[in-house]
Amino acid sequence: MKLKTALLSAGAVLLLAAPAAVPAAKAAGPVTVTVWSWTPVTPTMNAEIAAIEKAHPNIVVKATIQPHPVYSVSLQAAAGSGNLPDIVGLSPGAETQAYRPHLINLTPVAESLWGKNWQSHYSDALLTEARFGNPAGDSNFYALPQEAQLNNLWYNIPAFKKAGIKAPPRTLAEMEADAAKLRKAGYMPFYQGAATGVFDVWTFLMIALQTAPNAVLPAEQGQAVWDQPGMTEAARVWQELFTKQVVQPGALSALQYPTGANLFAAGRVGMIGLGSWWLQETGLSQVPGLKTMSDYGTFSFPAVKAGGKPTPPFGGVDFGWGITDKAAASPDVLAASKIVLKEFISGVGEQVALNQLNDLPAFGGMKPTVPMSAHLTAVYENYIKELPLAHPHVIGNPVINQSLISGLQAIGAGKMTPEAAMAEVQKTALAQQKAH
Amino acid sequence: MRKPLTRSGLFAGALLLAATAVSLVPSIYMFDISLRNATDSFSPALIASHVTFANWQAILLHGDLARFFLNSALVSVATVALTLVCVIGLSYAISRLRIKGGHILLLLVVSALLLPLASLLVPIAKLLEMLGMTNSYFGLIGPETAIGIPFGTVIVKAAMDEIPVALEEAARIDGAGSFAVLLRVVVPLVQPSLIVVAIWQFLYSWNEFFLALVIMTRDAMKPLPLAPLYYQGPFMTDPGKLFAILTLIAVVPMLAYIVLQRWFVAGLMEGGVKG
Amino acid sequence: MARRRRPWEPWLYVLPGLLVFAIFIAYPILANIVGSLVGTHGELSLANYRQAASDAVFWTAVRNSGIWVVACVLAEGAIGFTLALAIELYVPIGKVAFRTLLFLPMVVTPSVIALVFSTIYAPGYGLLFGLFDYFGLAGSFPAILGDPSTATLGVIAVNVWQWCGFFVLMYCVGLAQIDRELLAAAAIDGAAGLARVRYVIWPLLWPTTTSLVVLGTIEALQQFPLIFLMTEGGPADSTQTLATYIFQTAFVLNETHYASAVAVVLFVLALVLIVLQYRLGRAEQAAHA
Repeated sequence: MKLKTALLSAGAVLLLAAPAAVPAAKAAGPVTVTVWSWTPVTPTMNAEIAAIEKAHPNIVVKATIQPHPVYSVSLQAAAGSGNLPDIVGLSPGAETQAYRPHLINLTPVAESLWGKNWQSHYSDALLTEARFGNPAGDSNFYALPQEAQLNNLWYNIPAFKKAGIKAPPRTLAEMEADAAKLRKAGYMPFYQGAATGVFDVWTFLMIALQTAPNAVLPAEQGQAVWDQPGMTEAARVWQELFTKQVVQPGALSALQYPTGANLFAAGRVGMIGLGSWWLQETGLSQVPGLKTMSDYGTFSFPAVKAGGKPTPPFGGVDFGWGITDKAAASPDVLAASKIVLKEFISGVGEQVALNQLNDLPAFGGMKPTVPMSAHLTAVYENYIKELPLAHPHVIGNPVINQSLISGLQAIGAGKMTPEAAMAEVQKTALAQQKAH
Repeated sequence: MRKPLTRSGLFAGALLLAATAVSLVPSIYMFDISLRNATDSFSPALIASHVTFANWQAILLHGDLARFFLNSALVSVATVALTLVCVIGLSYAISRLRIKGGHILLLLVVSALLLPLASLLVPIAKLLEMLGMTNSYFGLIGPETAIGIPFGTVIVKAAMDEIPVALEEAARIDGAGSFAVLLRVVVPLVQPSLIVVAIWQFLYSWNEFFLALVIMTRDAMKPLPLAPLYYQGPFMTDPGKLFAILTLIAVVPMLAYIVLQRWFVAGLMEGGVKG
Repeated sequence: MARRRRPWEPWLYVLPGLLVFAIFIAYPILANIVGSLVGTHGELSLANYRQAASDAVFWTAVRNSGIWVVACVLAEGAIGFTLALAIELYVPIGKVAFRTLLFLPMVVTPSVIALVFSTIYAPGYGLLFGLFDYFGLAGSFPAILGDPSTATLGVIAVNVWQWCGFFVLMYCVGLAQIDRELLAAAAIDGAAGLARVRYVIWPLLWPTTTSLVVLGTIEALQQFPLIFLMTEGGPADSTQTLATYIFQTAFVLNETHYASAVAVVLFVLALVLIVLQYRLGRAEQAAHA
């Protein structure tokens, strides 16, 4: 079913977007470009490829999409053995940096594809995040974003109605009260798949953006600022989510994907931390509420202090693409890879992804051309409005990241105080600073 | 009934029924989830209220599991074969041919008896990369065989130690060389212990996940243990389909075992494990 | 006689085994030892071992690996022995059926098992929750994998579930090789029967037991997919074993030299265990003799 829908929409897109296609490559026989990534989902990727191959009969794209934990192992093994594909999907920060030695500098590529002023097509937030973790003095781009994301909370509108709640919470106190009502009505109040570390980090950073707004960016960039009072305060709020049973029971053993997403789609969850990519489920889902998104609404993490403001826009690069030195070894493959890169980011590929509402476009001026309900349009427009203001959402150093995850889980389990956990992260960050 | 039904017989029966139920329920539950639609997937009941075959229809049409099965079968069978060759050779040389330094050799091999693959993974991965053998079947067969050699050698050498010298001598007087003696006299006599080693090695190889995760990065080469991950896809919102895949992955070897268990157990019964 | 003429002949037989062993066991061990001695700036140092000594997660991993070995061997051994006795000595019908059905989990690949049991354990909608709910205990349902103090045992229980059938089968095979008359004499109701199990059957099955202890230890130390897929070593690193920690340090955190040091520790631990088991096996055998 999914595949069929995807192919159909790909066909529709082709009709609409064909004129925008890049002129075909000059190479004689068909050139094969290999692509690895963890996202977009296979049906979307296949539709993107179909559109690209249609526009460029001389290019064959072979893509492999794997779940992220497997993908990262595959990349590592392949990088060591010279088996990397031509184009790799990358998250900003640690992942891009880990493979930087195998990636070509995309700055001249971007200039040749979109002209000298190409950076004006990207928002500052995305340009910053795409270069997260570059060595001092290196302002090159090694991966260019295809799609952007905003992280926020979603809520189930019918569940809220059933629990007698009128609007999503604006303060932490309201959130706690709503959680109690949702529990009483038989729902999991706020789903946190706390076994999935990255979602722990995101929830924590959303809180920290309120309690320590000036420390978050330095912390993400590897500075040892974890012992600041605002950080400890954020850890205390995180702890409260557990002690006041805002999160569902057994959160520490739960996965955000696929379990949390499935439960939310099945209507068992009141609130959950997801993001703009959740819109994609409208395109892929057979669940009626999801197809129109009319049952689902967005809100920001509530103000943790009375009279405070909710978390400001938070997000950045969803995923980007790098071209490997393996592609660069053959002029034909490199030329074809550049074309594929352009189609992924600003051409027929991205148009297909957008029409399936895969996530938000990173490249300015792109927009979905499928009909959307008023509700869906409102949610989408709001995302687009907030995207340029987004605060980066990635911790650049994997060791610090892991230490934060451990600390947050230990707090949730009641095995560590917020103070002790943050002191531990601070210790790790200092050690990392010393090592590098 | 041949035996009278005793109190302890009844108790044993009840105990076994309970144990069998515990051992089967997860599989039944897995199959059951594969029959549910997306909204019913998260019900704690063992048996679904609404049965749908849509998930099975979808995944059977999909049908790219065969490759995973094929890869696993190939690697497991080759690993068993290579392990047997290595183990028979080592045991024969140490036990019957009394190779010089045989004690040291045995000690060396046995010292790796409890060695987990995890402790060797990083150097093995690097070595295979150097040799260009990532994404090759031998990248799994080689290390898995190596891991199986210590246990196999302990078992088979012990069995060979018990063969009377006279049998061997008789064959030698008939003019047989050491290889002929091995094939005609020794191997048939230690066959039960070889079956034990083969079974252990097959199960180990069939279920090996860690090495495959690191070595097999190309889709076409992945063995069965990696298949669930592949279908779990982080954005998949169809537990029913996932569990249909899981059921299919589980049920094929289950049926194979039920059909083959008679020979399997007979092989074990003949020899058994001798410490 | 043939031997004397060709002294190199035995080496022909050990060649394949020795080659595979040298490439995939001896070399990696040496590479680990060398790698573990490389410091952050490429110098020769014990820094990785010092790091391990002061790394709380490393010690959790060591402790958990120990728990895995002891718990798996004891539980699988005890359950396997009891069920095998019930099958071979007591139950009047269905021997083959019980033996076969109990073995089935062994052929299911652990990655499938991990996903199924994650659902069974899940608070709020899992099968186990359904059972608690049925008895009106939904309110006190434990989040087994979410609580650092129970998560490791929760995963071990899954491993035991899978492996019991193997232990049952091996003990059945062992029992089948014991003299039938002895067995018949032991299969008596009541205390006398249990005493015979203890003093007649248990010693006779000692060779099976020693083999199973070795196999159980191997299998417990090898376990990776169940932990990797059910808890990823969490929550808060409480389910890390040496195997998962090596994976995390090497493949997630990119600290290859540190991973080598952890691997060397695991190797030494395995060596110590084998010497220990060998000694214990000898002592127990002597006691029975």
